[in-house]
Amino acid sequence: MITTMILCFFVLLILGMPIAVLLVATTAIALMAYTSTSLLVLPQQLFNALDNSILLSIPFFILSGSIMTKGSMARRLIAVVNSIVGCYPGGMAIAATLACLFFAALSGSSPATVVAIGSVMIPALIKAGYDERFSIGLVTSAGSLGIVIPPSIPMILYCMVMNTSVAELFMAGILPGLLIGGVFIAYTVFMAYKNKWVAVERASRKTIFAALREGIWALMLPIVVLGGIYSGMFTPTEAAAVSVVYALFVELVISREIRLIEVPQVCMQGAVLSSCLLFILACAMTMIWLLTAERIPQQVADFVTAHVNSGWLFLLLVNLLFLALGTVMDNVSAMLILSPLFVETLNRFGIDYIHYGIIMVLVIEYGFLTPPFGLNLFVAMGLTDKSLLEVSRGVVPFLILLLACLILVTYVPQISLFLPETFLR
Amino acid sequence: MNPFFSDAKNVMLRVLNRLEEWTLVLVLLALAFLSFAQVFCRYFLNFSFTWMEELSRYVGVFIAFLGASIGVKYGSHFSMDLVYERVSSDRWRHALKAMVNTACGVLFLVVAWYGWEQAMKLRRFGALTAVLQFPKFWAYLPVAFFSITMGFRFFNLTAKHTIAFVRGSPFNAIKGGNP
Repeated sequence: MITTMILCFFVLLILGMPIAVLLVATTAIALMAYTSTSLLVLPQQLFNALDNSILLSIPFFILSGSIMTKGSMARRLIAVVNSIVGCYPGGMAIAATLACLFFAALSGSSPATVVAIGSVMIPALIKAGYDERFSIGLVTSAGSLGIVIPPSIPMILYCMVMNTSVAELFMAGILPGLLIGGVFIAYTVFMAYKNKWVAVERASRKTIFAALREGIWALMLPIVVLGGIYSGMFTPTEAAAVSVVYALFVELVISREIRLIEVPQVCMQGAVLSSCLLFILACAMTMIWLLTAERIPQQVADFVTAHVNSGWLFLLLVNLLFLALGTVMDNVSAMLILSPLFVETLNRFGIDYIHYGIIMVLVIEYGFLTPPFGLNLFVAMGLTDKSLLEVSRGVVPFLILLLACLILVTYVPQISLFLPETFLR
Repeated sequence: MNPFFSDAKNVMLRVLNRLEEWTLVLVLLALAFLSFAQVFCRYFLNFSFTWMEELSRYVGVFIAFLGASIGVKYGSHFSMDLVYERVSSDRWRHALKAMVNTACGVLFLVVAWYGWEQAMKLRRFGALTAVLQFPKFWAYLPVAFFSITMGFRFFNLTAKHTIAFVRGSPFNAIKGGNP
C-alpha cells in the first residue's frame, strides 16, 4: 500500500495537482484499493481535522500580520531601533536585523516580515551607502526569523499534526531565534568593519524618547500576546484574536494609518491564504489518519531503527531529507505529511517533540530562502525589482550561517528546551 | 447569448464573488472581536461565553472550506508547476492542466456527495451539538456545499484550458489574479 501511495503522490505532484487536493486523492485511491472502508470517511476526517479551536489562531495571526504590514507599526519599530543602534558601525544594518526580530514577535509569518521591514529598510540601507547585495540578502534572511520567534504559523501547524503544546513550542523558539539574530548581527558588524561602512551620528536622548513614544504601541504587542499566553490569561487562539483587535485599534484609532473602509481589502489576501493553509492541513490530517490506522509510523520506525543506530544520525538524515525535499515541494507541506510518520521513531530514539519541532521550523526557514519555493526570495524580488539570481546571491552568506545554526540547534537540544523546561514543565 | 442575459449573468457572478469574499473576511473579523470580547468579559465582568469554543470550531470548518473554494478561483493553492516549465509547448501544458483539473473536480464532487450523505445521516439521528444544542448536521453542510463550488471551479478551469488547447493560445493567458 505504501508503495502505491508514494507513487501516486509523486505522479500527481509532478502533474501539478495542488498539494491539498493530491493528498485527498492519494488517500481516496488507497482507501478504495486496499480497504473496505467507505469514502464517507473523507468528509468525516476533513471535518474532524478542522474541528479544533487552536486552528483559528492561524487566520487571526495572518490577519493581524497583514494589518500591521499595511499600517505604520513596522515603520515605528524601525525608527526606535535605528535611533538606538544607528550610531555604531553598520548600525543601520543592525537596526534592520533588530527590526526583523521585533516584527517577528508581532507576526507569525516570514514573508510578511520581509515585506514590512524590507519595504522601508532595503532602500534606506542602499541609500545610506551599504552594499546592495548585502542589504537585500540581510533583510530577506533576517525576515525569515518571523517563523522562529513566536508567534509562528508553522509552529501552530506542527502542534496540530503532532498534538503538542503550542505554548511550549512558542517558548522553545525564542532562544534559537535570538541565536540566529545574534549571528546575523555579528556577521554584519564584521562586514561593517571590513568595508568601513559609515555610521550615522549618535541620536540625542530627545530623538530616542520621541521614537519610543511613537513606537510604544508596537513594542507593547508582543508583551500583551506572549505575556497573555504564558500567564495563562488566554489561549493561543484568544491571543491571536487579541492581536487582531489590538492591531486594528492602533492603526484605526491611534495612528489612523488605515481607514475603516479599507479593512476588508487589507485582510482579503491574508484571509484566502490562511484558509488555503487550513485546508491543506485538513487534507494532510486526512492522509495521516489513514497512515496511522494502517500502522505505517510503526513500520517506518522499524525500518529506521533497523538501519540507523542513533538519534544523532537520524536527525542528520532528517535534516538532509528535508533539505532535499525542499527542491520538489514546499517544506511546510513536507513537514505536515512527514512529521507524524516519524512519531514512533522519535519515541524510540527519545527525541523530544518540541526539540524536533524547532528543527522542523528551522528547516522551513531554510526553505523560505532557497528556490524554487523560497517565498522570501520572491517577496524580495517584488520589493527590489532584482532577478531571482541576484537576490539568491545576496542570501547565500546568510544561508551558510543559518545552516551552522541549524546544526547547532539540532545537536544542542538545550537551546530549544531550556526555556520550556525551566518555565513550563 | 442575448446581451441582456449575458450582462445579467456577469453582474450576478460579480455579486456572488464579492459576497463570498466579504463573508470570509467579515466572519473572520467578527470572530476575532467575539474572542476578544470573551477575554474581556472573563477578566473584567467575570463571566464567559460557554458556547464560544464550540462556535469557533464550527466556524473554523466553514472558513476553511469557503476560503479553499475562493482559493481555487485565484489559483492560490500551492502546487508544483516545475513540469509545466519543462514541457515545452503551451498546447501540452493546457492539455495537462485540463486533465489535472478534471481529476480535481471529480474528486471534490465525490467528497461533496459523501459530505451530503454524512450531513443527512446526522440529521436522521437528530445529533445535537454539545453546548449550543443545535442540530449538528448544519456544521457539515459547508463541507458539502463548498466542495461542490470547488468542484465546479476546477471544471471551469478545465473548460478554460480546453478552449485554450483547441485555440492554441499562450499559457500565461490563464492565471489566477491576486485577491
